[in-house]
Amino acid sequence: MYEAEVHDTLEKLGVLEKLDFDLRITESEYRSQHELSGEIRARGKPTNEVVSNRQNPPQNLLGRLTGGKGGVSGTGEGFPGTSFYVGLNRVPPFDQDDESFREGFIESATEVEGIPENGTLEMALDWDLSEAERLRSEDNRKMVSESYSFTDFPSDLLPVRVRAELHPDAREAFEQRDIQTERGLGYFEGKAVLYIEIELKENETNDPGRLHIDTFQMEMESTFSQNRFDFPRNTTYDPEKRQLQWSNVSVWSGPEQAEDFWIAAPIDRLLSIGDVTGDLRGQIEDYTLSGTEVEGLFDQSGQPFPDRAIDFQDDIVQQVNFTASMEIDPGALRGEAQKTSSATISVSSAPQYLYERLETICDSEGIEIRERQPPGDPEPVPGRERVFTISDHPDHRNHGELKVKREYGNQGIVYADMVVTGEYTATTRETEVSAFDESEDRLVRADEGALDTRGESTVEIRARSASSELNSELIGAIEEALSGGEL
Amino acid sequence: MSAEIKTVDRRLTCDTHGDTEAKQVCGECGTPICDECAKNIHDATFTHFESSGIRNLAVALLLVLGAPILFYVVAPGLLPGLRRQLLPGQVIRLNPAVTLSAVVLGASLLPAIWYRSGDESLDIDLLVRRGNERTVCSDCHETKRAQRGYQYIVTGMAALVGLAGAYLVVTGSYTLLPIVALGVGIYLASDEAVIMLSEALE
Repeated sequence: MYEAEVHDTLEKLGVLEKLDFDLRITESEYRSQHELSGEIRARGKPTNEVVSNRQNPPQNLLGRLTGGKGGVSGTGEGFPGTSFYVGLNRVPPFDQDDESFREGFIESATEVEGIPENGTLEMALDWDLSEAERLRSEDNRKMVSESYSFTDFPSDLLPVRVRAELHPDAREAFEQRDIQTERGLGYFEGKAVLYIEIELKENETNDPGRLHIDTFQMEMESTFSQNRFDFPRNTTYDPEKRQLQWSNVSVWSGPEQAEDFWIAAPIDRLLSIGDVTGDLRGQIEDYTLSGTEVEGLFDQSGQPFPDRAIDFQDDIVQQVNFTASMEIDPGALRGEAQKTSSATISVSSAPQYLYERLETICDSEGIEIRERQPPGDPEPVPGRERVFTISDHPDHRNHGELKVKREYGNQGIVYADMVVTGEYTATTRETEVSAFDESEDRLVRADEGALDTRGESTVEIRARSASSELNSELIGAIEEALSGGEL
Repeated sequence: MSAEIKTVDRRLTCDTHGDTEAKQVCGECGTPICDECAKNIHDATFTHFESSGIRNLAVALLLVLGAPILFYVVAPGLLPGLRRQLLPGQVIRLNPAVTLSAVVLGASLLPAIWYRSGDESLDIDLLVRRGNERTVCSDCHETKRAQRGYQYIVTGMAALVGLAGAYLVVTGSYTLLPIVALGVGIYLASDEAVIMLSEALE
C-alpha cells in the first residue's frame, strides 16, 4: 500500500473565510459595507522520519557498491508524497423561499475565484532540512494556504445582520423586543435606548447555526457618569476608556435569537455621547460564506486518506471569522430628536478662496474638520465666455465640501456640512479687454459674464444637533468670521 | 407559480459524469473521477520506500551466497541424492543449475534495496523501493503510454524467458533451470527495470 509522507504530517485542514463588516451611521452618511476573503489552510508537523529522510536521503545499495555504474541511480528522493489533493464542493448559500434563487440569480451573483466549484486543489506540505529541524525542535507547525477571493457577494446573502437603532422609549423597546432586565420595565420609564442588534440569519439549506462573539467593545466619544446610564448585566464598563465590553456571547440563528447590546439613558444624554465606535470579533463554526466544504483528501495515488494522522470529523474545519467595525452617531439614528438648521451665505469671491477661507475659520474657531473635499476643476459656463462655475449640480458636480464637528462642552455637539459653489471670471484684466473689444458679440458675452472681478460664491451650511440654539451658534460663528475677514 | 426546489448535492462528483460520485481523483492531475472513468495502473515510477529492506537483503544474500556454500561446501551430495531418488537412471548435474538459479534470483532482489544511514555509524535502515498502484484519468492514462509500454516489454520478456525456460526444463533440459530463474528475476526486478528504461529513454 502506498505510503505518502503527508499521511503522517498533515494535522489539520481548514476552509477559513473572513467577513469584515463596516457599519457607519452618521448624519452625513449611512454606509454598510463588507469585505470577504477566504483560504484553504493546511497545518503540518514534521515527524522524525521527515527529518531523517532529508538528513540522510536513501542510497541505492547496488549503486553504492558499483559507484553508480550500470545505470543504477545512487541517491533517491526519500520523501515522496508531500503533495495532496483537497476535494472541494461549493454550493452557494441560498434560501428556498427566495424568488431570486429560482431565477438562478444567486448562483451567478456569488462569484468566487481561486477554488473550484467541484474539483480539487493541489497543496504541498514540504520542507527543507533546516526548516524541518527547526520546526521539530520548537515543536512547531507549518502552515500552507491557498487563497481565494469573492468577486461578488450580495449583501442579502450575508449571514449576519447588524442594526443600530435609537428608540425614544426604552420601556416600549424592551417590551417589543422581549428584553428582560433585572430592574424591571418600570425603571426605564422616560428613558431612551440605543441598541445594536446582531442577528444571525436563518437559512434552510445552509444554516450558519451559531455566531460566537469573542469580544464586542463599544467606545463613546464623551464621558459620562455611570449612574446616568444603564446597560445589560453582562457588560463590563471602563469609565476611563469610556468603553463598554461584552465577551463570549453566542448568537443563534433566527430573528428571535438576535442579540441586543444596549445603552439606556435619557434621550438628551444619549444624544450627547458623541460618536459611538464598536469593534466586534467572532466566528461562525461549520459554515462558509462561499458554501465550500471539504469532501475528501486524496494522495497522489488518487485514493482518499481520511483516517491516518488527520481525523476527518475533528481536524477538518470550516469557519467564518467575523469582524465588524461600527461608527454610529446616535443623533443620526433618530431624526425627530434632532434639530437641523440651514443657512446660505454669499460672498464676492471665487469659490476656491471661499473654501480656503472656511478652512482657516474652522481652524481658528476650534471646529474639527472631519472630511474635506476642495472644489474640483472649474467648468466653463455655456454661452458666457471666460466665466467658470463650481457647482453641486448632479450632472457636473465639482463643488467644495467640508464636514465639520464642533463640541460645545456639556451642551452638546453640532455636526455640519458646508457646500461651496459659485461662479467666477478668469481674470479682471481679460474682462476689461473683452469689454473694450469692438465686437458687439463679445461685448454682450462679457456683459453676461459680468460678475464681480473675483466672482460670486455661496456656502450652504446645514447644521445638526440636539438643539437649534447650538446650530445657530455654529452658523453665526462662521457668518461672523466670513463678514469680518478679507477675502 | 411552481417553485423549483433544489436539493444540495454535497459530494465530489465526477468531472465527466457530473451526477456520479467521485470516490477517487486522478493521482496525476487531481481531476475527480468516478469508478467508470478511473484507470488503475501499476506505476513503477511512482515509488515509496518500505522498511522491509533487511528481509529482502537477507533473502538475496541467502540465495547468492548461501546456495553455493550449501550445495558445494556443506552438502554437496544433497542434490545428487535427490536426483537419484526422483530421476533414477538419469545423469544430470543439478548443483550448478540450482546454484546459478539461486544466484540469479538473489541478484534480482538487489536493485530494489536501498539504505539510509543514521547519525551513528552502524545505524543503518535498509529499505525497499516499490512502485505503486495508482488511479488516473483517461487523459493521464494516455500520457503514461510509453511507461506502460516499458512495463509490457519487461513483463513480456519475463514471461517469455520464464516460460521458455520452463518448457526446456520440462522437456528434459534440467540444466537450463537458471533460464526459469532469469524470467522470475526479471519479473521481480521489473519496477527497477522500467525506471531504468524510463530514465534512459525519456
